[in-house]
Amino acid sequence: MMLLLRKRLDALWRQLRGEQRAGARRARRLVTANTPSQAQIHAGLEGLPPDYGRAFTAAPPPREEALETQAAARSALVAAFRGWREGRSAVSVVTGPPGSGRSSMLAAFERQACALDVRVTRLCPQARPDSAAALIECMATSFGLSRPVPPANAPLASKDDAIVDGSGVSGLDSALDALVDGLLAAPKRVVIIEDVQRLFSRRMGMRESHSAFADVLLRTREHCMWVLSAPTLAWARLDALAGFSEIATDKIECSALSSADLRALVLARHAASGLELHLERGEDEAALAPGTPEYDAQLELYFLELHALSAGNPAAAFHFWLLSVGPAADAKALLLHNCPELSLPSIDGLAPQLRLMLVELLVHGGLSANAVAALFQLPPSAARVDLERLRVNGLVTREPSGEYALSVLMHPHVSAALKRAHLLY
Amino acid sequence: MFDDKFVEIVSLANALALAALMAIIAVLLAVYRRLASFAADRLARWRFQILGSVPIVRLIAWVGGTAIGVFGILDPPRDSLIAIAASAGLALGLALQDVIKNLLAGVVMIFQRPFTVGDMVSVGGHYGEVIAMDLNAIRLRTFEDSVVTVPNSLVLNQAVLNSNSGSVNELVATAFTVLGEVDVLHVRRVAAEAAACSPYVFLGSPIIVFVEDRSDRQRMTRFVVKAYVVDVRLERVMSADVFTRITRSLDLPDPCFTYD
Repeated sequence: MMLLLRKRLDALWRQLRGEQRAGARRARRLVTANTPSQAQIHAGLEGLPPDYGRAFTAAPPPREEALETQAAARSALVAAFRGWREGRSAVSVVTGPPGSGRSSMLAAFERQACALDVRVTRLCPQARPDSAAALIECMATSFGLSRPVPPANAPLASKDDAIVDGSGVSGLDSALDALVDGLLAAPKRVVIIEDVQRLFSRRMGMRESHSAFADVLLRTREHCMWVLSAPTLAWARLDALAGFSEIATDKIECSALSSADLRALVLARHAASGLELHLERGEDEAALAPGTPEYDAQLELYFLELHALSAGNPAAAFHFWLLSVGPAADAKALLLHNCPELSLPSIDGLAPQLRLMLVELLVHGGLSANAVAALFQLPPSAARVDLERLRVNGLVTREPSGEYALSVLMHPHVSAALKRAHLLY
Repeated sequence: MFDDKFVEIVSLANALALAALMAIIAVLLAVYRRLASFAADRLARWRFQILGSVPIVRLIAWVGGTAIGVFGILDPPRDSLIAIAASAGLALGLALQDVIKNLLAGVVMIFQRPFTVGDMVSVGGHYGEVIAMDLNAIRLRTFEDSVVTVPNSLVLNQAVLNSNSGSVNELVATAFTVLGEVDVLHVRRVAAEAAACSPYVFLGSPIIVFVEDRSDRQRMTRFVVKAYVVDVRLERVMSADVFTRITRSLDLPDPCFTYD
């Protein structure tokens, strides 16, 4: 136990320093900017069952296994749901660190609500709305309203609603009214918005979007149950800008997965392969097979290190896991190597603007180069160059959609560094 | 001519020991200053406390070093010590009045702490970040990237404006005046939103916009946007960023821009 604790503290200290292990007993794979992506890893999983990598995708199908730790959060959500069915208004906000199981919990909640014949709508915008009008249109489309929403052409930052049509009502207001009327005329429903921060961005005109969204929620919260979900830091930012917490009726916090949860999650996915897991030892020593106390202790240590490395985020943990496993001498087993090391580029040494870019990417959940350019008032090419610099450092990845987002592998370490620098609050 | 005790005091061995002691103190202080600077860059929240400890440690080190040198190495007889101290004090007091005044003011400032290293202060007509607090003077880095040295006695005898008082965040006022008729409510909203949109603004504190009627011979309205910056070093960057957003959004012909 003491040995484990010492090793754990040692691993944590090394993580804090962001250093590689000098003179390590065995060679460790170094996770750097050049580390292959998960897709590349899947393609190169030689000697492993073809479906093995697929079990460790970043967005696995919703499963019950991750919900064990979220029992309290799930109960709170169900209680809010019952209250809403009894006539109370409900705007539930579910927050938690990335990978804390919010999506799984909401998927399970959705199944539960559907089983009770309650209509559930998920609001998943294809693109980030760039105006209040676009937001209303996006919501109306998601709800499949039969009543057409009038075009909302009100300009950004309208002059105290002075731009009005002949009836004295602005285009935006009438669009809002139509949306609310449409929602109220439709059957009662639960509306789930995952990653609600993706509906908004920090730009001129955002206040109008915030007001429109809050207005819809306030006017329909008895007829519809609104479930908003966001990473904790993103929600804190959104709340600081828009004050959405004031209209929330329930705030539900999901905690990060513990080391034991992560172990159960990873081993459950591994078990689906039907292969044994052997542990690598010294260079000249035979691999450890299950069933011995040494095996259990070493596996425990591996998951402690994996947990520290991934900060409990399964997406990152899966990535590191796939970097750790390889074919074993025994065809019916896989060999687990040491937990990889993370080579963390220096964030403290970055220019202030680059650090603030990381903050914005983190709280927005991803931004295009043009959005970053608008936010920092830079030419798009300059913003792209800055983002590429961050990408070369391995801090940022480029999504297929073209948006830049914080690397899931570096996320906990970047957010910790930004908090230390007092840039995240 | 000299008695044995005096010869013993001013021996080569003592001189070397004193020089070695001073060198060790200087090296240790340089190492401490570098360590403090390294730690302050990484722990922004504690930046001011860490940097503020440098002058205190320096004072303690030099006072302690002097005491060790006098009593531990030279060890003069008490009578000689009193006589030397009295005559040296008189001579130095007369010759180095200003230096001693600055030194004493430096000691007072270390304990009084009107500001600390890293603070943004205005003193003697200069505004900038305090980058060093020495025993005789403070050094400021202005926004023009010049280093201004202000004697401690001058600092102690003047009003000192401290913008952030040891906090990483600082209230920044971005003031501008709009000439002619203007929709005040609209400009006020745009100004508040421009501040909220700026990535340099600290959102943990409220953003306030003040409006003043400054009409004289023509209609003039002055707006002051007050918001906190995420880091005092970005004060001017934030102010410029907020103002640019306002002018781009309002598209007015002649806003007059001044820093408060």
